[in-house]
Amino acid sequence: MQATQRRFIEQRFGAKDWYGRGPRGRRMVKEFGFEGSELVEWRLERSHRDEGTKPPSIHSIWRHDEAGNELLAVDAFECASVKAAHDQLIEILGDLESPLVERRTGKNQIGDVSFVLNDTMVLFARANIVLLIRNAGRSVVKVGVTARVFDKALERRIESERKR
Amino acid sequence: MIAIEAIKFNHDVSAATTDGLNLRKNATQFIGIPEWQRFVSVNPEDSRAAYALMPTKGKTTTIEVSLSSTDPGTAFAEVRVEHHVKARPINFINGKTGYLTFELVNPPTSHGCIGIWDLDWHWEWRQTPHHPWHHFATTRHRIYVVLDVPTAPWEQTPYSAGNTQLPWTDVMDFACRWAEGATSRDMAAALVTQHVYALGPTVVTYDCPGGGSSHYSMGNFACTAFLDRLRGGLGNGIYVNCSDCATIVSTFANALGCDLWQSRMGYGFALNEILAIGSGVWQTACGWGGFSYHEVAWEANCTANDDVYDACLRVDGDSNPLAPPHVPLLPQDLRFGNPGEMVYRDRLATVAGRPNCNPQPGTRQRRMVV
Repeated sequence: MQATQRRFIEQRFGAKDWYGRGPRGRRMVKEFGFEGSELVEWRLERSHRDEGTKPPSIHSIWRHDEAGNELLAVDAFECASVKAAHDQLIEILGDLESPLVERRTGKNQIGDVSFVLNDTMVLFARANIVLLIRNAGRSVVKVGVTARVFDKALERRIESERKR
Repeated sequence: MIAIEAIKFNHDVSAATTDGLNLRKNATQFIGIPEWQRFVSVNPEDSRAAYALMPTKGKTTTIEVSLSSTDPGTAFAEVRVEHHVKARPINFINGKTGYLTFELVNPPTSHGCIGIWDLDWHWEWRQTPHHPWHHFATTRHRIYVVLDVPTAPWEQTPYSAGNTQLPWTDVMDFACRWAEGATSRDMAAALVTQHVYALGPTVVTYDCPGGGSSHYSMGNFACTAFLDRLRGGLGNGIYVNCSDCATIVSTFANALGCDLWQSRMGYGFALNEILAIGSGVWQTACGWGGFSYHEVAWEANCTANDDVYDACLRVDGDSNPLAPPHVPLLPQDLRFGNPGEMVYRDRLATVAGRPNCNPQPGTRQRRMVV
Protein backbone atom coordinates (compact mmCIF):
# COMPACT_ATOMS: atom_id res chain seq x y z
CA MET A 1 0.00 0.00 0.00
CA GLN A 2 1.14 3.52 -0.80
CA ALA A 3 2.54 5.30 2.29
CA THR A 4 0.14 8.26 1.94
CA GLN A 5 -2.88 6.00 1.92
CA ARG A 6 -1.56 3.90 4.79
CA ARG A 7 -1.17 7.02 6.93
CA PHE A 8 -4.70 8.02 6.02
CA ILE A 9 -6.07 4.59 6.96
CA GLU A 10 -4.08 4.37 10.21
CA GLN A 11 -5.32 7.77 11.26
CA ARG A 12 -8.93 7.21 10.23
CA PHE A 13 -9.22 3.90 12.06
CA GLY A 14 -7.10 4.83 15.07
CA ALA A 15 -4.53 2.13 14.38
CA LYS A 16 -2.35 3.20 17.30
CA ASP A 17 -5.03 1.80 19.61
CA TRP A 18 -4.96 -1.69 18.16
CA TYR A 19 -2.12 -2.24 15.70
CA GLY A 20 0.14 -5.06 16.86
CA ARG A 21 -1.83 -5.63 20.02
CA GLY A 22 -3.39 -8.93 20.96
CA PRO A 23 -3.85 -11.37 23.80
CA ARG A 24 -0.63 -12.81 25.15
CA GLY A 25 0.59 -16.33 24.47
CA ARG A 26 1.24 -18.27 21.35
CA ARG A 27 -1.94 -18.02 19.35
CA MET A 28 -1.39 -19.10 15.80
CA VAL A 29 -3.50 -20.97 13.31
CA LYS A 30 -1.80 -22.78 10.45
CA GLU A 31 -3.26 -24.30 7.31
CA PHE A 32 -6.57 -22.59 7.86
CA GLY A 33 -9.40 -23.69 5.61
CA PHE A 34 -13.15 -23.92 5.40
CA GLU A 35 -14.79 -27.28 5.99
CA GLY A 36 -18.28 -26.40 4.80
CA SER A 37 -19.95 -27.34 8.06
CA GLU A 38 -19.29 -24.02 9.78
CA LEU A 39 -22.54 -22.38 8.72
CA VAL A 40 -25.90 -24.08 9.22
CA GLU A 41 -28.21 -23.78 6.20
CA TRP A 42 -25.39 -22.46 4.02
CA ARG A 43 -23.60 -24.57 1.43
CA LEU A 44 -19.95 -24.04 0.69
CA GLU A 45 -20.16 -23.43 -3.04
CA ARG A 46 -16.47 -22.93 -3.69
CA SER A 47 -13.29 -22.60 -1.68
CA HIS A 48 -9.86 -21.92 -3.10
CA ARG A 49 -6.62 -21.53 -1.22
CA ASP A 50 -4.08 -19.33 -2.99
CA GLU A 51 -0.53 -19.85 -1.80
CA GLY A 52 0.72 -17.36 -4.38
CA THR A 53 -0.59 -14.35 -2.49
CA LYS A 54 1.12 -12.72 0.46
CA PRO A 55 -0.25 -13.70 2.90
CA PRO A 56 -1.79 -16.96 1.65
CA SER A 57 -5.51 -16.44 1.16
CA ILE A 58 -8.60 -18.61 1.06
CA HIS A 59 -11.52 -17.33 -1.01
CA SER A 60 -14.89 -18.94 -0.52
CA ILE A 61 -18.44 -18.47 -1.74
CA TRP A 62 -21.37 -19.72 0.36
CA ARG A 63 -24.86 -20.20 -1.03
CA HIS A 64 -28.10 -20.07 0.96
CA ASP A 65 -30.74 -20.51 -1.71
CA GLU A 66 -30.80 -22.47 -4.94
CA ALA A 67 -31.29 -19.38 -7.07
CA GLY A 68 -28.07 -17.92 -5.74
CA ASN A 69 -29.68 -14.68 -4.63
CA GLU A 70 -28.29 -15.08 -1.12
CA LEU A 71 -24.55 -15.50 -1.33
CA LEU A 72 -21.72 -14.76 1.04
CA ALA A 73 -18.11 -14.17 0.12
CA VAL A 74 -15.89 -15.19 3.01
CA ASP A 75 -12.20 -14.51 2.51
CA ALA A 76 -9.55 -15.61 4.96
CA PHE A 77 -5.93 -14.49 5.15
CA GLU A 78 -3.42 -16.63 6.99
CA CYS A 79 -0.76 -14.26 8.24
CA ALA A 80 2.60 -15.03 9.79
CA SER A 81 1.93 -13.13 13.01
CA VAL A 82 -0.59 -10.96 14.83
CA LYS A 83 1.21 -7.89 13.55
CA ALA A 84 1.10 -9.19 10.00
CA ALA A 85 -2.61 -9.82 10.43
CA HIS A 86 -3.08 -6.19 11.43
CA ASP A 87 -1.08 -5.10 8.38
CA GLN A 88 -3.52 -7.15 6.33
CA LEU A 89 -6.44 -5.42 8.06
CA ILE A 90 -4.99 -2.07 7.01
CA GLU A 91 -4.52 -3.38 3.48
CA ILE A 92 -8.16 -4.45 3.25
CA LEU A 93 -9.43 -1.25 4.87
CA GLY A 94 -7.57 0.56 2.10
CA ASP A 95 -9.70 -1.26 -0.46
CA LEU A 96 -12.99 -0.08 1.06
CA GLU A 97 -14.37 3.03 -0.62
CA SER A 98 -16.98 3.77 2.02
CA PRO A 99 -16.11 6.39 4.62
CA LEU A 100 -18.69 4.88 6.96
CA VAL A 101 -16.86 1.69 7.85
CA GLU A 102 -16.16 1.82 11.60
CA ARG A 103 -14.24 -0.05 14.21
CA ARG A 104 -16.39 -2.10 16.56
CA THR A 105 -15.31 -2.18 20.20
CA GLY A 106 -16.67 -3.31 23.54
CA LYS A 107 -18.87 -6.33 24.03
CA ASN A 108 -19.94 -6.33 20.38
CA GLN A 109 -16.40 -6.71 19.16
CA ILE A 110 -15.64 -9.73 17.04
CA GLY A 111 -12.15 -11.24 17.10
CA ASP A 112 -9.26 -9.20 18.48
CA VAL A 113 -10.02 -6.22 16.21
CA SER A 114 -13.08 -5.76 14.02
CA PHE A 115 -14.55 -3.31 11.53
CA VAL A 116 -18.10 -3.25 10.26
CA LEU A 117 -20.47 -1.49 7.94
CA ASN A 118 -23.99 -1.72 9.35
CA ASP A 119 -24.53 -5.46 9.66
CA THR A 120 -23.71 -6.24 6.04
CA MET A 121 -19.90 -6.40 6.12
CA VAL A 122 -17.54 -7.56 8.86
CA LEU A 123 -13.75 -7.53 8.78
CA PHE A 124 -11.90 -8.90 11.77
CA ALA A 125 -8.63 -10.36 12.94
CA ARG A 126 -8.34 -13.16 15.45
CA ALA A 127 -4.73 -14.01 16.26
CA ASN A 128 -2.94 -14.36 12.89
CA ILE A 129 -6.12 -14.91 10.85
CA VAL A 130 -8.04 -12.15 9.08
CA LEU A 131 -11.59 -12.81 7.92
CA LEU A 132 -13.62 -10.63 5.57
CA ILE A 133 -17.31 -11.52 5.36
CA ARG A 134 -19.41 -9.81 2.72
CA ASN A 135 -22.56 -10.21 0.73
CA ALA A 136 -22.10 -11.49 -2.80
CA GLY A 137 -25.73 -12.00 -3.82
CA ARG A 138 -28.52 -9.70 -4.90
CA SER A 139 -30.51 -10.28 -1.67
CA VAL A 140 -28.60 -8.67 1.15
CA VAL A 141 -28.31 -10.67 4.38
CA LYS A 142 -26.96 -9.71 7.78
CA VAL A 143 -23.49 -11.05 8.46
CA GLY A 144 -22.89 -10.29 12.14
CA VAL A 145 -24.11 -13.67 13.39
CA THR A 146 -22.13 -15.43 10.66
CA ALA A 147 -18.99 -13.56 11.69
CA ARG A 148 -19.45 -14.68 15.28
CA VAL A 149 -19.83 -18.29 14.17
CA PHE A 150 -16.54 -18.13 12.31
CA ASP A 151 -14.90 -16.32 15.23
CA LYS A 152 -16.03 -19.00 17.70
CA ALA A 153 -14.67 -21.68 15.38
CA LEU A 154 -11.38 -19.82 15.24
CA GLU A 155 -11.24 -19.54 19.01
CA ARG A 156 -11.78 -23.28 19.36
CA ARG A 157 -9.08 -23.97 16.80
CA ILE A 158 -6.62 -21.68 18.53
CA GLU A 159 -7.36 -23.30 21.89
CA SER A 160 -6.90 -26.81 20.53
CA GLU A 161 -3.61 -25.88 18.86
CA ARG A 162 -2.40 -24.20 22.05
CA LYS A 163 -3.02 -27.41 24.03
CA ARG A 164 -0.93 -29.53 21.67
CA MET B 1 -6.18 -37.15 -52.35
CA ILE B 2 -4.67 -33.89 -51.08
CA ALA B 3 -5.27 -32.84 -47.49
CA ILE B 4 -4.37 -30.01 -45.17
CA GLU B 5 -2.50 -31.53 -42.22
CA ALA B 6 -1.86 -28.43 -40.11
CA ILE B 7 -1.87 -24.64 -40.21
CA LYS B 8 0.32 -22.28 -38.19
CA PHE B 9 -0.97 -18.73 -37.80
CA ASN B 10 1.59 -17.81 -35.16
CA HIS B 11 4.63 -19.21 -36.91
CA ASP B 12 7.11 -16.70 -35.47
CA VAL B 13 6.65 -16.49 -31.71
CA SER B 14 9.31 -13.79 -31.44
CA ALA B 15 7.35 -11.22 -33.47
CA ALA B 16 3.85 -10.23 -34.53
CA THR B 17 4.68 -8.32 -37.71
CA THR B 18 3.74 -10.91 -40.32
CA ASP B 19 1.90 -13.46 -38.22
CA GLY B 20 -0.29 -13.96 -35.18
CA LEU B 21 0.17 -13.10 -31.51
CA ASN B 22 1.22 -15.50 -28.79
CA LEU B 23 -1.99 -16.54 -27.06
CA ARG B 24 -3.61 -18.75 -24.49
CA LYS B 25 -7.32 -19.45 -24.00
CA ASN B 26 -7.55 -18.72 -20.28
CA ALA B 27 -5.69 -19.31 -17.02
CA THR B 28 -5.47 -23.06 -17.54
CA GLN B 29 -5.55 -23.66 -21.30
CA PHE B 30 -2.64 -22.86 -23.59
CA ILE B 31 -3.00 -22.36 -27.34
CA GLY B 32 -0.27 -24.35 -29.01
CA ILE B 33 1.06 -24.26 -32.54
CA PRO B 34 -0.12 -25.34 -35.08
CA GLU B 35 -3.46 -23.77 -34.22
CA TRP B 36 -5.31 -25.93 -36.76
CA GLN B 37 -4.77 -29.68 -36.99
CA ARG B 38 -6.46 -32.25 -39.19
CA PHE B 39 -8.93 -34.48 -37.29
CA VAL B 40 -8.60 -32.22 -34.23
CA SER B 41 -9.91 -28.81 -35.30
CA VAL B 42 -13.54 -28.78 -36.44
CA ASN B 43 -15.23 -25.54 -35.47
CA PRO B 44 -13.85 -21.98 -35.65
CA GLU B 45 -13.25 -21.92 -31.89
CA ASP B 46 -10.95 -24.94 -32.30
CA SER B 47 -8.52 -22.80 -34.31
CA ARG B 48 -7.93 -19.36 -32.82
CA ALA B 49 -5.47 -16.71 -33.88
CA ALA B 50 -5.08 -13.00 -33.22
CA TYR B 51 -3.43 -10.24 -35.22
CA ALA B 52 -2.37 -6.78 -34.15
CA LEU B 53 -3.03 -3.92 -36.58
CA MET B 54 -0.07 -1.68 -35.78
CA PRO B 55 2.85 -4.09 -36.24
CA THR B 56 1.31 -5.75 -39.30
CA LYS B 57 0.51 -2.49 -41.07
CA GLY B 58 1.97 -2.43 -44.60
CA LYS B 59 3.36 -5.94 -44.24
CA THR B 60 2.28 -9.17 -45.86
CA THR B 61 0.63 -11.54 -43.42
CA THR B 62 1.62 -15.14 -43.83
CA ILE B 63 0.65 -18.55 -42.53
CA GLU B 64 2.46 -21.84 -42.66
CA VAL B 65 0.61 -24.84 -44.00
CA SER B 66 1.51 -28.52 -44.06
CA LEU B 67 -0.16 -30.62 -46.76
CA SER B 68 -0.22 -34.30 -47.65
CA SER B 69 -1.14 -36.34 -50.69
CA THR B 70 -2.07 -39.99 -50.93
CA ASP B 71 -1.79 -39.90 -54.74
CA PRO B 72 1.71 -40.94 -55.78
CA GLY B 73 1.06 -39.38 -59.19
CA THR B 74 0.68 -35.91 -57.68
CA ALA B 75 4.12 -34.48 -57.10
CA PHE B 76 3.37 -30.89 -57.98
CA ALA B 77 0.23 -28.82 -57.57
CA GLU B 78 -0.99 -25.30 -56.97
CA VAL B 79 -3.06 -24.55 -53.84
CA ARG B 80 -5.15 -21.58 -52.72
CA VAL B 81 -8.18 -20.35 -50.79
CA GLU B 82 -9.99 -17.97 -53.09
CA HIS B 83 -10.17 -14.45 -51.56
CA HIS B 84 -8.19 -15.57 -48.49
CA VAL B 85 -4.96 -17.41 -49.25
CA LYS B 86 -2.83 -16.56 -52.27
CA ALA B 87 -2.18 -19.45 -54.68
CA ARG B 88 1.29 -20.95 -54.68
CA PRO B 89 2.93 -24.06 -56.11
CA ILE B 90 3.60 -26.94 -53.76
CA ASN B 91 5.80 -30.01 -54.04
CA PHE B 92 5.14 -33.35 -52.33
CA ILE B 93 8.05 -35.49 -51.22
CA ASN B 94 6.94 -38.89 -50.00
CA GLY B 95 3.40 -37.51 -49.91
CA LYS B 96 4.23 -34.57 -47.63
CA THR B 97 5.15 -30.94 -48.14
CA GLY B 98 6.42 -29.96 -44.73
CA TYR B 99 5.43 -26.46 -43.62
CA LEU B 100 5.10 -24.02 -46.54
CA THR B 101 4.58 -20.29 -46.28
CA PHE B 102 1.38 -18.90 -47.81
CA GLU B 103 0.45 -15.23 -48.11
CA LEU B 104 -2.98 -14.11 -46.90
CA VAL B 105 -5.16 -12.10 -49.28
CA ASN B 106 -7.20 -9.38 -47.58
CA PRO B 107 -6.55 -10.74 -44.09
CA PRO B 108 -8.91 -9.67 -41.29
CA THR B 109 -6.48 -6.87 -40.46
CA SER B 110 -7.39 -5.28 -43.81
CA HIS B 111 -10.63 -4.08 -42.17
CA GLY B 112 -8.42 -1.77 -40.12
CA CYS B 113 -10.46 -2.15 -36.96
CA ILE B 114 -11.02 -4.35 -33.91
CA GLY B 115 -13.22 -7.37 -34.45
CA ILE B 116 -13.70 -11.11 -34.45
CA TRP B 117 -14.09 -13.00 -37.68
CA ASP B 118 -15.10 -16.64 -38.06
CA LEU B 119 -13.67 -17.79 -41.36
CA ASP B 120 -14.47 -20.82 -43.50
CA TRP B 121 -11.58 -21.45 -45.82
CA HIS B 122 -12.40 -23.57 -48.84
CA TRP B 123 -9.08 -24.96 -50.06
CA GLU B 124 -8.63 -25.66 -53.77
CA TRP B 125 -5.89 -27.26 -55.84
CA ARG B 126 -5.05 -27.64 -59.50
CA GLN B 127 -2.32 -29.52 -61.29
CA THR B 128 -1.14 -26.66 -63.51
CA PRO B 129 -2.35 -23.14 -64.33
CA HIS B 130 -4.16 -24.64 -67.32
CA HIS B 131 -6.31 -26.94 -65.17
CA PRO B 132 -9.47 -25.97 -63.30
CA TRP B 133 -9.48 -25.56 -59.51
CA HIS B 134 -10.84 -28.42 -57.38
CA HIS B 135 -12.10 -28.09 -53.81
CA PHE B 136 -10.36 -30.51 -51.46
CA ALA B 137 -10.77 -29.27 -47.88
CA THR B 138 -12.50 -26.76 -45.66
CA THR B 139 -10.86 -25.36 -42.53
CA ARG B 140 -12.55 -23.07 -40.01
CA HIS B 141 -10.85 -20.43 -37.89
CA ARG B 142 -11.66 -17.71 -35.35
CA ILE B 143 -9.55 -14.63 -35.99
CA TYR B 144 -9.27 -11.76 -33.52
CA VAL B 145 -7.99 -8.38 -34.62
CA VAL B 146 -6.68 -5.97 -32.00
CA LEU B 147 -5.08 -2.55 -32.37
CA ASP B 148 -1.61 -3.36 -31.12
CA VAL B 149 0.34 -5.98 -29.23
CA PRO B 150 -1.45 -6.33 -25.86
CA THR B 151 0.16 -4.40 -23.03
CA ALA B 152 0.68 -5.40 -19.40
CA PRO B 153 -0.49 -7.31 -17.53
CA TRP B 154 -0.52 -9.21 -20.80
CA GLU B 155 2.82 -10.53 -22.01
CA GLN B 156 4.19 -12.04 -25.21
CA THR B 157 7.19 -13.68 -23.60
CA PRO B 158 7.98 -16.25 -22.54
CA TYR B 159 5.76 -18.14 -24.95
CA SER B 160 5.15 -21.19 -22.81
CA ALA B 161 2.23 -23.04 -21.29
CA GLY B 162 3.37 -21.85 -17.87
CA ASN B 163 2.98 -18.17 -18.72
CA THR B 164 -0.55 -17.34 -17.59
CA GLN B 165 -0.14 -13.69 -18.66
CA LEU B 166 -0.20 -14.44 -22.38
CA PRO B 167 -3.34 -12.76 -23.78
CA TRP B 168 -6.45 -14.84 -23.12
CA THR B 169 -8.82 -15.42 -26.03
CA ASP B 170 -11.58 -15.80 -23.41
CA VAL B 171 -10.98 -12.10 -22.64
CA MET B 172 -10.71 -11.18 -26.33
CA ASP B 173 -14.09 -12.87 -26.93
CA PHE B 174 -15.66 -10.07 -24.89
CA ALA B 175 -13.21 -7.24 -25.44
CA CYS B 176 -13.19 -7.52 -29.25
CA ARG B 177 -16.99 -7.57 -29.36
CA TRP B 178 -17.31 -4.66 -26.94
CA ALA B 179 -14.85 -2.58 -28.98
CA GLU B 180 -15.86 -3.90 -32.39
CA GLY B 181 -15.08 -1.41 -35.14
CA ALA B 182 -12.74 0.72 -33.03
CA THR B 183 -9.80 2.15 -34.92
CA SER B 184 -7.99 3.96 -32.11
CA ARG B 185 -6.95 3.26 -28.54
CA ASP B 186 -9.18 6.01 -27.15
CA MET B 187 -12.17 4.66 -29.06
CA ALA B 188 -11.51 1.10 -27.94
CA ALA B 189 -11.06 2.07 -24.28
CA ALA B 190 -14.23 4.18 -24.39
CA LEU B 191 -16.27 1.31 -25.85
CA VAL B 192 -14.94 -1.10 -23.22
CA THR B 193 -15.84 1.42 -20.51
CA GLN B 194 -19.38 1.79 -21.88
CA HIS B 195 -19.90 -1.97 -22.01
CA VAL B 196 -18.57 -2.56 -18.51
CA TYR B 197 -20.84 0.15 -17.08
CA ALA B 198 -23.76 -1.38 -19.00
CA LEU B 199 -23.25 -4.69 -17.16
CA GLY B 200 -25.14 -3.10 -14.28
CA PRO B 201 -27.49 -3.94 -12.70
CA THR B 202 -27.98 -7.39 -14.26
CA VAL B 203 -24.45 -8.77 -14.13
CA VAL B 204 -22.77 -6.51 -11.57
CA THR B 205 -23.76 -3.68 -9.28
CA TYR B 206 -21.94 -1.34 -6.93
CA ASP B 207 -21.05 -2.88 -3.56
CA CYS B 208 -23.13 -0.82 -1.15
CA PRO B 209 -23.58 -3.61 1.44
CA GLY B 210 -19.85 -4.35 1.54
CA GLY B 211 -18.69 -0.76 1.86
CA GLY B 212 -17.47 -0.60 -1.71
CA SER B 213 -14.97 -3.42 -1.34
CA SER B 214 -13.01 -5.17 -4.06
CA HIS B 215 -14.47 -8.52 -5.07
CA TYR B 216 -12.44 -9.10 -8.23
CA SER B 217 -9.28 -7.05 -7.71
CA MET B 218 -8.03 -7.69 -4.20
CA GLY B 219 -4.38 -8.32 -5.00
CA ASN B 220 -4.60 -9.90 -8.44
CA PHE B 221 -7.45 -9.59 -10.95
CA ALA B 222 -9.79 -12.56 -10.48
CA CYS B 223 -10.36 -12.59 -14.22
CA THR B 224 -11.47 -16.24 -14.33
CA ALA B 225 -14.19 -15.49 -11.79
CA PHE B 226 -15.22 -12.35 -13.67
CA LEU B 227 -15.46 -14.27 -16.97
CA ASP B 228 -17.62 -16.83 -15.16
CA ARG B 229 -19.86 -13.97 -14.03
CA LEU B 230 -20.05 -12.60 -17.59
CA ARG B 231 -21.18 -16.02 -18.83
CA GLY B 232 -23.99 -16.22 -16.27
CA GLY B 233 -22.16 -18.04 -13.46
CA LEU B 234 -21.78 -16.91 -9.86
CA GLY B 235 -18.21 -15.68 -10.25
CA ASN B 236 -17.26 -13.84 -7.07
CA GLY B 237 -20.79 -12.50 -6.82
CA ILE B 238 -22.70 -9.52 -8.11
CA TYR B 239 -20.86 -6.73 -6.34
CA VAL B 240 -18.02 -4.61 -7.66
CA ASN B 241 -16.23 -1.50 -6.53
CA CYS B 242 -14.14 1.12 -8.31
CA SER B 243 -10.94 -0.95 -8.22
CA ASP B 244 -12.77 -3.84 -9.83
CA CYS B 245 -14.13 -1.60 -12.60
CA ALA B 246 -10.75 0.06 -13.18
CA THR B 247 -9.10 -3.35 -13.37
CA ILE B 248 -11.69 -4.80 -15.71
CA VAL B 249 -11.59 -1.81 -18.07
CA SER B 250 -7.81 -1.52 -18.20
CA THR B 251 -7.16 -5.26 -18.50
CA PHE B 252 -9.75 -5.81 -21.22
CA ALA B 253 -8.71 -2.66 -23.09
CA ASN B 254 -5.03 -3.55 -22.82
CA ALA B 255 -5.80 -6.92 -24.40
CA LEU B 256 -6.79 -4.82 -27.43
CA GLY B 257 -3.52 -2.91 -27.43
CA CYS B 258 -4.58 0.04 -25.28
CA ASP B 259 -2.18 1.27 -22.63
CA LEU B 260 -4.17 1.96 -19.46
CA TRP B 261 -3.30 1.72 -15.78
CA GLN B 262 -5.24 1.23 -12.58
CA SER B 263 -4.56 4.20 -10.36
CA ARG B 264 -6.11 5.86 -7.32
CA MET B 265 -7.16 9.31 -6.20
CA GLY B 266 -7.74 10.49 -2.65
CA TYR B 267 -7.85 10.32 0.19
CA GLY B 268 -11.19 11.01 1.87
CA PHE B 269 -13.28 13.38 -0.19
CA ALA B 270 -16.93 14.42 -0.42
CA LEU B 271 -18.86 13.45 -3.54
CA ASN B 272 -21.32 15.12 -5.83
CA GLU B 273 -24.35 13.02 -6.66
CA ILE B 274 -23.45 10.24 -9.08
CA LEU B 275 -25.03 7.21 -10.76
CA ALA B 276 -23.05 4.25 -9.47
CA ILE B 277 -22.84 1.18 -11.70
CA GLY B 278 -26.10 -0.74 -11.45
CA SER B 279 -27.95 2.14 -9.79
CA GLY B 280 -30.69 4.30 -11.27
CA VAL B 281 -30.64 6.79 -8.39
CA TRP B 282 -28.60 9.98 -8.35
CA GLN B 283 -26.95 10.07 -4.95
CA THR B 284 -23.55 10.24 -3.35
CA ALA B 285 -22.31 6.64 -3.54
CA CYS B 286 -24.79 4.51 -1.54
CA GLY B 287 -25.68 7.71 0.32
CA TRP B 288 -22.31 7.68 2.08
CA GLY B 289 -21.46 11.27 1.27
CA GLY B 290 -17.96 10.55 0.04
CA PHE B 291 -15.27 8.12 -0.91
CA SER B 292 -12.34 7.05 1.22
CA TYR B 293 -10.52 6.59 -2.10
CA HIS B 294 -11.46 6.05 -5.72
CA GLU B 295 -9.73 4.16 -8.52
CA VAL B 296 -10.08 4.43 -12.30
CA ALA B 297 -8.50 3.25 -15.50
CA TRP B 298 -6.04 6.00 -16.30
CA GLU B 299 -3.76 6.92 -19.18
CA ALA B 300 -0.03 7.62 -19.20
CA ASN B 301 1.36 8.91 -15.87
CA CYS B 302 -2.01 8.96 -14.09
CA THR B 303 -1.71 12.66 -13.21
CA ALA B 304 -4.18 15.54 -13.36
CA ASN B 305 -3.21 16.08 -17.00
CA ASP B 306 -4.02 12.53 -18.05
CA ASP B 307 -7.34 11.08 -19.17
CA VAL B 308 -9.45 8.67 -17.15
CA TYR B 309 -11.99 5.96 -17.99
CA ASP B 310 -14.39 5.29 -15.13
CA ALA B 311 -16.86 2.42 -15.63
CA CYS B 312 -17.89 2.55 -11.97
CA LEU B 313 -20.07 5.62 -12.15
CA ARG B 314 -21.62 8.37 -14.21
CA VAL B 315 -21.10 11.96 -13.16
CA ASP B 316 -23.21 15.03 -13.84
CA GLY B 317 -22.07 16.35 -17.20
CA ASP B 318 -23.87 19.69 -17.20
CA SER B 319 -22.55 23.12 -16.29
CA ASN B 320 -23.31 22.62 -12.59
CA PRO B 321 -22.38 19.15 -11.31
CA LEU B 322 -23.03 20.27 -7.73
CA ALA B 323 -26.81 20.23 -8.02
CA PRO B 324 -29.75 18.84 -9.99
CA PRO B 325 -30.78 18.62 -12.74
CA HIS B 326 -28.25 15.96 -13.69
CA VAL B 327 -27.06 15.06 -17.17
CA PRO B 328 -25.42 11.63 -17.00
CA LEU B 329 -21.87 11.54 -18.32
CA LEU B 330 -19.79 8.37 -18.35
CA PRO B 331 -16.18 9.49 -17.86
CA GLN B 332 -14.30 8.18 -20.87
CA ASP B 333 -11.17 9.79 -22.26
CA LEU B 334 -11.89 12.63 -19.82
CA ARG B 335 -8.97 14.58 -18.38
CA PHE B 336 -8.71 14.35 -14.58
CA GLY B 337 -8.04 18.06 -14.31
CA ASN B 338 -7.47 20.55 -11.53
CA PRO B 339 -10.07 22.22 -9.29
CA GLY B 340 -12.09 24.75 -11.25
CA GLU B 341 -11.44 23.22 -14.67
CA MET B 342 -14.82 21.46 -14.69
CA VAL B 343 -13.46 18.15 -15.94
CA TYR B 344 -13.38 14.79 -14.11
CA ARG B 345 -12.26 15.91 -10.64
CA ASP B 346 -14.82 18.74 -10.40
CA ARG B 347 -17.63 16.53 -11.62
CA LEU B 348 -16.85 13.80 -9.10
CA ALA B 349 -16.00 15.75 -5.94
CA THR B 350 -17.69 18.64 -4.18
CA VAL B 351 -15.94 21.99 -3.95
CA ALA B 352 -14.82 21.09 -0.42
CA GLY B 353 -13.84 17.58 -1.50
CA ARG B 354 -11.69 18.52 -4.49
CA PRO B 355 -8.51 19.39 -2.54
CA ASN B 356 -8.55 15.84 -1.09
CA CYS B 357 -9.33 14.22 -4.42
CA ASN B 358 -5.78 14.18 -5.75
CA PRO B 359 -4.19 11.84 -8.26
CA GLN B 360 -2.00 9.30 -6.51
CA PRO B 361 0.26 8.13 -9.33
CA GLY B 362 2.30 6.16 -6.82
CA THR B 363 -0.56 3.64 -6.79
CA ARG B 364 -0.34 3.09 -10.56
CA GLN B 365 -0.42 -0.62 -11.31
CA ARG B 366 -1.64 -3.37 -13.61
CA ARG B 367 -2.89 -6.33 -11.60
CA MET B 368 -1.93 -9.79 -12.77
CA VAL B 369 -4.73 -11.90 -14.23
CA VAL B 370 -5.59 -15.11 -12.43
